[in-house]
Amino acid sequence: MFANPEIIQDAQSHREKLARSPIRWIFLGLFFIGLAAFLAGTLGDTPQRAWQVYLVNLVFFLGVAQGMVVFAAALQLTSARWGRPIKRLAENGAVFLPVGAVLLAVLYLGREQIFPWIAHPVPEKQAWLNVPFFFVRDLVMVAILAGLSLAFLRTSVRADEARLSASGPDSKKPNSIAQKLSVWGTLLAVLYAIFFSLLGFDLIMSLDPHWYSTLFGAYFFITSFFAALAAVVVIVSLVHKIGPLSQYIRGSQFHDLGKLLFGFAIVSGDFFYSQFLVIWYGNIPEETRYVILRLREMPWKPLSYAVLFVAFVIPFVVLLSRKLKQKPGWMLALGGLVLAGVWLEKFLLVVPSIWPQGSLPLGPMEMLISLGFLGLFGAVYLWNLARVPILPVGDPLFHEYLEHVNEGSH
Amino acid sequence: MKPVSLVGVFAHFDELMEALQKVKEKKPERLVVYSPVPHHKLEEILEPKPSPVRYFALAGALTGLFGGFGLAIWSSLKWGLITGGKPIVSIPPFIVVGFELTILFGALATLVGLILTHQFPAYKIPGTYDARFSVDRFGLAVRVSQEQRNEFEAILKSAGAEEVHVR
Repeated sequence: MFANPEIIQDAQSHREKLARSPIRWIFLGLFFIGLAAFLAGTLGDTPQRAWQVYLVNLVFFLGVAQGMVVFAAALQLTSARWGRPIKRLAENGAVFLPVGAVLLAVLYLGREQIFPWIAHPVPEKQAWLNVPFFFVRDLVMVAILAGLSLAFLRTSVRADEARLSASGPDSKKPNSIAQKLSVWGTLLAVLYAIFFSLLGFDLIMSLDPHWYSTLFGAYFFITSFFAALAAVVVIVSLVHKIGPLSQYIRGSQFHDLGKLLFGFAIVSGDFFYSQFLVIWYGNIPEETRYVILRLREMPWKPLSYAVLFVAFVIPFVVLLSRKLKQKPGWMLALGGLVLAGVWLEKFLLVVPSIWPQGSLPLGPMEMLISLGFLGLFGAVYLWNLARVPILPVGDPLFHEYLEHVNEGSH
Repeated sequence: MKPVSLVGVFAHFDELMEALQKVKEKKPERLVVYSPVPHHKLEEILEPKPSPVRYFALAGALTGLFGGFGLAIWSSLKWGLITGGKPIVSIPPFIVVGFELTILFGALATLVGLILTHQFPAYKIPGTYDARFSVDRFGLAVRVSQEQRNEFEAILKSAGAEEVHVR
């Protein structure tokens, strides 16, 4: 392990850049615009519209932020060298999670607008679907995941800070830190699957309380992870374009991210198809109506086909190409497209269940509220990114990666 | 004068890379590297042309895709079984057949492509090959004209070749 002063400098260089750039204020501005739109919406004629798009964004951004941390945990658990330069960019998503927990608590105020089982309880399911238990368990789950994710991020950052402040290499510490990260990471990966399954059942499936699919929870956490990968791709390519890291983040990172994105596009498609095929074969009215509403009836039908193309067909075809996977510009566009596709997919899972009229509740207010969420995510993300080293300089595997890249190229 | 083949035998990868870089700049007629292990650096420096096997894979996969759907649709039309009020040609279950045959034909075509385009299995062993290149030595073979012979020999030696053979 060596402490190259150049690397130490590169790991800090983004702080000054971020402090000078107006980007954080732009995100903060977006957040306040979204907040204003949301308040206006809830106080207006159709508060349900504001609350349902609030829920859409909540499940979307919660999934993206948590998925990013789980991706970093996966890098840790597999001792992956290739992903070390982008590790911090992924795990930094953890800072949104406490905010997400607060946003989930705020949902309590709008519960009667969106959860149909409050006004019309389902007797057989009342032991599970009742207001106190529902909010307590969901908040506890999100809080546990947020706590674990923050612990993961904190441990990882602490190693880097020790490295930045210490003059000589610390021979004992890296191992104990790696061990800690592996424990946090394992817990995160397992609890992510369990808790996000339950959150998917609670926050999305219960909107249509008579319909059920046992695969729905798994489908929710897989698509969330897929969206998180797309978010990592977007962030990494933006940093690559603007930032000081082009020396560390190369075509090979985009290539590997592209392969992962390709894989998860297929897995997401597969999880959808596995539910769809069984429902199609069974042909039981109480199951099929959920699908028929979204695939056959207006105004949802065109949106469903748009999701199929934007989140599956286009990424599948584009990511077949090895060359395009290595081009940051293409990956940026594709990551953005996938994020839009998964957002629309969440919209389609949430809204048709509770929106009775034939009109499409997707207008300027929905856009502004969604931008508000994006602004909040961006502001929180960048606020913390400015406080931590952008490269995991305290991670032995990061140095192994650098040695591996540099070897032989003299 | 006939061109000759020079074979440098290297014990270390770094030396091989150094020789390879220098030799490549001189643009010899033919350049072959033997290595007991795969290495990405070799791929980067040699810049091999994209393998033609991918066209075999694509052709096989598309054949499987259309063949699978075709088989399912054709046999359903030929021996129609009306079940549960569903249309005779119903796409959702046929995706399974199409998907499986895409993979099967794609994989088989890739294997055929490998055999056809990569001299696989090799019946004739190239003259510059040495059995040690499959054990613990790297080999760099260049074909050069007689005039360049000394120059290339010097490059190989200076990079650290243990032996330089003329084949």
